[in-house]
Amino acid sequence: MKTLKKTLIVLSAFFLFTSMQYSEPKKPESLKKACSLLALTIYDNAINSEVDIETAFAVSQIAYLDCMYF
Amino acid sequence: MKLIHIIVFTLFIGNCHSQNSIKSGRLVYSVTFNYTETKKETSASKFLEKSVEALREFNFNLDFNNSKSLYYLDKSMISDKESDTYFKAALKIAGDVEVFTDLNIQLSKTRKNFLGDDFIITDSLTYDWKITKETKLIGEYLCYKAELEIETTYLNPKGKKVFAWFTYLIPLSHGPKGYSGLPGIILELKENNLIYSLQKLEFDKSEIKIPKNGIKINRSDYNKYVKQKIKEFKFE
Repeated sequence: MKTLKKTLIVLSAFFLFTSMQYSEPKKPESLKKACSLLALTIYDNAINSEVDIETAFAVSQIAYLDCMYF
Repeated sequence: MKLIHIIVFTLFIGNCHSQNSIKSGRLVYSVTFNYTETKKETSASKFLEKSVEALREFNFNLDFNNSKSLYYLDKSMISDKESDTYFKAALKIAGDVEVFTDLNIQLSKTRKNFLGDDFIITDSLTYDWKITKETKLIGEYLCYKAELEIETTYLNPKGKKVFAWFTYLIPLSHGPKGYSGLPGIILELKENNLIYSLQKLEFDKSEIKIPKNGIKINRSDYNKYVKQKIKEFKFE
């Protein structure tokens, strides 16, 4: 029984540690919304400037990632 | 009458000589984009303006010989800027592609990255150009204007208007981004709001390598893949 308890404690500690190490820090929902809106507007503006959909999408993705992480 | 025959014969020999003397070379193009500025300045419009400004900083090369060509970004100028956001966006706007064309088999292979994956897309070189009488000088070369209309697709809902300025003085059918099939090399190209302008032309030996690393796919399947991915992001 003691061995089982010890194993559970070690496993719990391990999972807690790995989740702290590898989980992405949570971004606030407001930031996500603002960045999505920015990306969508860039997408629309690019389309209005006669950029094709694939390019507009790629550019908006770059803007979204920049907005979220930098 | 004899004199006319002599002139025609001399011109013919001269033309043959110029065709035979061109073995290989490199064209360097700069890129500009006519961005439609919005009246209201927003973060989105600023982002696009800065990206368009970043376009000025790089060039594309077209290495060619009589039958093959390779169009690619000149990375020597931009090695320190590859992580810059505006630069990355500018590169997408300019067309972040490497295009190999083989006129003998009328095929092109385009390498491009989409959402982190490299693709090698095969296309057939069939362009229905209309050559006009409009001319202009680009450097020392007299160029003729040719027009091309690309029909609307899902990825190009407004279609595409392409204008090429080519010269009969270099009778090779190459051009930037795989545009080919004209009776002379393309020295300037306008593709919707993007303009590729000649910066330098040199005749030298160029090694032309076929792009190899990437998922091999035909254009139709690639377009379906892109369409599906864009829909997943709920942009529509």
